Amino acid sequence: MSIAVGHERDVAIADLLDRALNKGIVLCGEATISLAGVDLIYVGLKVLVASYETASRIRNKQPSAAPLPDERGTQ
Amino acid sequence: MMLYVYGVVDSPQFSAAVSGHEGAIVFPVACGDLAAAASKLSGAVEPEVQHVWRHERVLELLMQEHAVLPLRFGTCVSDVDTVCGELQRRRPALLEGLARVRGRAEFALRVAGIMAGHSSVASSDDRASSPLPGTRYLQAKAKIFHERALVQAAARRVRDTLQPYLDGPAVAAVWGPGDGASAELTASCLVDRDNIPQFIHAVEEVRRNHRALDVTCSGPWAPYSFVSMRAAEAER
Repeated sequence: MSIAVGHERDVAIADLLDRALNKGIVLCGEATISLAGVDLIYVGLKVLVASYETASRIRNKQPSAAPLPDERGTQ
Repeated sequence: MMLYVYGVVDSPQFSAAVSGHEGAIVFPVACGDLAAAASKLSGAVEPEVQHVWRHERVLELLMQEHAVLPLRFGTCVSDVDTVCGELQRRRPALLEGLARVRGRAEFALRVAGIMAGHSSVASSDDRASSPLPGTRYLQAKAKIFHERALVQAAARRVRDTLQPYLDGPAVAAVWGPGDGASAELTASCLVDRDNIPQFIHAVEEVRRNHRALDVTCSGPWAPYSFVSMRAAEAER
């Protein structure tokens, strides 16, 4: 089993998901779709990874990208 | 009944019994001297954490005896002939990939805090804010672009700082996009198994020498980031 050299299990999970869902060989796209559907995998990935990145951003107090006002200048 | 495929292996036979999804035995779908590691599957495998861990675990067990190219989680085919056809069609690239990862494992690096010591541009933008909505919109957009540019520059600096530490123990490194969308820098490092202690030591040295950076490292993983030609180009 993989080890977390430095930090907690959450980081290892994020690293695993980033790889297993995002990288690796795609043997044949049609076959992948037949399993769970691209949309399903995509949504799962976005939810899991976004929550990690959000946590990271809060932890680092990174200057957040303020929401843009719309074309009329209203929020 | 479908076949779930975990990875491509440089041997038509497996020396150890490995359990995959639903407890099914992982078996080789041999095609010449290559094989795909597969198991029978009755239904869909949802993209849940424990299933992804199972996918990874199968690959790690196979990697103890063989060179393995990991497939993306969720790859499922209807029959053995489809797998063999894909192995034959991609044989040169697969052989090249297997040679690249043989005896090696992937480690993940995440570096947070790359903007430490850099102040935000918010104050200057606030001074320039206009009562006109169109101008405000452009000012807000310019601020976002500017902040992203700052993050990109910081990511480049951190990458240049860390690369010398990795040059020795890592065979290759693939860096994240560093596009400024996140204040976090990521890298995937391909490391000879014999050099794993040296790689971990190098990461600890980075932590000691650059305390403002929040460096995390996990692994060893199956070499997901080094299966493509783009990864080969990054190799030194």
